[in-house]
Amino acid sequence: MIEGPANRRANAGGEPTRRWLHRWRTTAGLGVALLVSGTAAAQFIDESYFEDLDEFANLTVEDLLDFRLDVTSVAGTRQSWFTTPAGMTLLTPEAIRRGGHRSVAEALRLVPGVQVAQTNASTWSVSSRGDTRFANKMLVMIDGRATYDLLFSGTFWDVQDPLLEDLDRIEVVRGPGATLWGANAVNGVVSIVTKSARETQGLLVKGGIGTQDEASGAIRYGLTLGDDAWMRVWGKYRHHGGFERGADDWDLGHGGLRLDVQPEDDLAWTIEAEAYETGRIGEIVVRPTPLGHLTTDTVRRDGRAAGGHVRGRVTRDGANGWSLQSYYDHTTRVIADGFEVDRDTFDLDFRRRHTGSGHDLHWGLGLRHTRDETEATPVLSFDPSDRSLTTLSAFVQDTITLVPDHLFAMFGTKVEDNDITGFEVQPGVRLWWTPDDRRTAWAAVSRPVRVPSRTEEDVRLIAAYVDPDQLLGGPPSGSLVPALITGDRRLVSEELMSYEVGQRVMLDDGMTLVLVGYYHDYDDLVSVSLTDFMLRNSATADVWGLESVLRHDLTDAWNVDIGYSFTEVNFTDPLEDLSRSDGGHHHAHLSTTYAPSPEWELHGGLYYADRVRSLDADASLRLDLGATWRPHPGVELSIWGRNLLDPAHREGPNTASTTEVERGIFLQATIRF
Amino acid sequence: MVAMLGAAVLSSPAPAPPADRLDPTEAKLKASYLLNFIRFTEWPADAFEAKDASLVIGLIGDDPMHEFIDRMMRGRRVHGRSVRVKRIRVEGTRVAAVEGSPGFATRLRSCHVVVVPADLPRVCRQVPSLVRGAPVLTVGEDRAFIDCGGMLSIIRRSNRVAFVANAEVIRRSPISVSSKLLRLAASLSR
Repeated sequence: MIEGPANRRANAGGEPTRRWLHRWRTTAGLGVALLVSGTAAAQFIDESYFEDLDEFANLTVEDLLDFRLDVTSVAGTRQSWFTTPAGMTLLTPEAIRRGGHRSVAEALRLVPGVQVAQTNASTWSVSSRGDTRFANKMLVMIDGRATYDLLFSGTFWDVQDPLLEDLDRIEVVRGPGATLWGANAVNGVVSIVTKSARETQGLLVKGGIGTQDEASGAIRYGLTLGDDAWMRVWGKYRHHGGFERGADDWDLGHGGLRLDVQPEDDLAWTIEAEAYETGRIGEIVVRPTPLGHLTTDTVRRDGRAAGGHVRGRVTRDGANGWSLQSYYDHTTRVIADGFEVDRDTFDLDFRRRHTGSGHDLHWGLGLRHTRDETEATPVLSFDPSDRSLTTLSAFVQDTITLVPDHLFAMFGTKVEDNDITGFEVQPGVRLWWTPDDRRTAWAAVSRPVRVPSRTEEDVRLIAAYVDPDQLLGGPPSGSLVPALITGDRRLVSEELMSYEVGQRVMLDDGMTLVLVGYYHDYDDLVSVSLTDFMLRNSATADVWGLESVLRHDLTDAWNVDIGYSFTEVNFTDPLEDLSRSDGGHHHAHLSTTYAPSPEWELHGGLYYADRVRSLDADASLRLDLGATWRPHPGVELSIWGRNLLDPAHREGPNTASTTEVERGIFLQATIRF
Repeated sequence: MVAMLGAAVLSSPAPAPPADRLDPTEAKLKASYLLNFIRFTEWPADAFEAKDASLVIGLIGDDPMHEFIDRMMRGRRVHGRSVRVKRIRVEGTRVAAVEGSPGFATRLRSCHVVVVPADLPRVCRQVPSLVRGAPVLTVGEDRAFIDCGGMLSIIRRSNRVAFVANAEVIRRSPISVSSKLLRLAASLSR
């Protein structure tokens, strides 16, 4: 329904200024203005503004609320969710609250086609279009700041925990996003956008306690610094006890501030900073021991993390706008029985947009410099121990209107030069069609890459102590040698050819269906040989799947969201003479909210994850139930039961360091002044 | 670099606020909100003079937005009634004069919906009390309207258009607004 106006806006051509109506009044000259404003306004109203009035008149309140002029992840431009030509889901803070989720990683369970596995109290594995083995191909950003860890090829979700009330939205693109965002946006992009300080005014106090020694508290204060400047300061603390083995308890304290200067019709400035520190991140470490062939012991160790960032951004909105963003990020982490890494990252990103004569052109330039220092343990070390890496990148993307209001094409490519694999080109093409105001259909082909991580290049890891004779099937010789996994600088980037088709249909008032099918063909996947423990680009995989979402408002007070996805992974490694298919697995979720009055809400969430045989991960079914009560404006009390169906279940692969997610109850109060 | 940005922000002089502007897309969204508000509101039968009487929307003042509302409502039927748009002109040069005028309250009460533009703050403060107890849905364009007893207000939040509601005022009035709409309203204190 929304695409008519949205597309018209997105392709308005070079006449944005004329399309703005001026309100011809000033406070001082109100009387005079009132007398003439009728004619003055009439002169500036273009008849074309009214062509799509009926389309707007048919929008429901949900459509209107969903009419977000600023979905930026796919096209880099403002588009309404409904016409975004990609498997994209938009999570609002309201949806996260109604789902009872208390962190970003948990909230991603609401996105169909995204698999979230909490492998212990502080660790989440988030992946899309594949299983958890593909978590290293998902790019996560908070306000354009990459949280993707170059050493481990993933995101440490324990320290990426913004105050949920300050989130503007989370945009999740399933499938490649490399054209705009660059390497490692292979299987998906999670772009977390926080609100401007302008939108978080006043005092917010939040606190909660739960079983498993869970406790959290947050405070935020937003103030106005002048006509066009706003600021907020915030602090948050979270403690979580360990799951059943009691060793994985952790806590995190963090705080920050944000300053926004947004004069109308001028440059908008943002300065933002955050610092965080954990007391302890309990971890269960499985260590190889030189006591016998393939023997290990399991120890409980303290990990920890600390860091912070400063970010500045200048933006000029509009059809020919631009943005310049820069940030500096420092992080320290102790992990895996005393291994420490310190990392400093500096990033500079410029984006520019030009529109006119049926084109909507975006281009950008980026520079990222990162330096790490590692402190080895007897088991894990890096050679060299310290390394600096610089990536220079550029992208260009053009959206072309082929048939006004109906048919569009987008071509783009990212090119980058990095210190690991050198020059990479990541092109993509997308075609979409909006036959009428109730349907959007699209097809896309992209070729993103994942650059090998610093670990894959430089690691020295003792994976096990082996008796060479025994390894070859003979009798024990009594001599043990360390089996050393060694990184290899000859590795090339993992490569994906991705094909996707999808459509969004408005079936009925209050019912929207999204269907996406894809085929991913991976080449040069990095694999560890089990005979010589070398890393090689020897594996390939093909993955196909379906994703569907149904949103339905059953009555005024009751709505239901259903998401379902099917994934089949066929993994082949000729070097290991390995070829396996897991036969496909299903994921589904159902979430519902019943709100009989503005004061009361009841929520339910049901999440199903299929068994993944190749990872020895069991099927799990999880039921969450919650209730919210607002006894007084600005006061909100809620109670949530998590994982109510069983005392505990394992969400990740069956390893010694995976603990089971327990049943829990959590009480929370939020007060706003 | 970051320090440079910081310095630039601190040293840049505060520019004068430019004229208020209306984006046609935003205007159409707001008009559509208004139409939806009417769909979700029920008036008591005696709020209409006759069984087939029109539903009257009163637009206060003069605002480019009104052209969008007028055209969107033209020929439309809601709750089995035709919709009529009435302009309530703010006469004279002094806004204060309007509030004292006895005819103003009567004209407001003859409407089923009144829309108050954000740039008439004094009128904004008066309207809710002038129609108190009457079956009139009051719709404003800023947060302040809710604070001074208005029922619903359509507000721009960065790049989105949302709305806020004053459930208490609505509950005490003779009209009823669907709980679904109230549930979808943005919370007042962000």
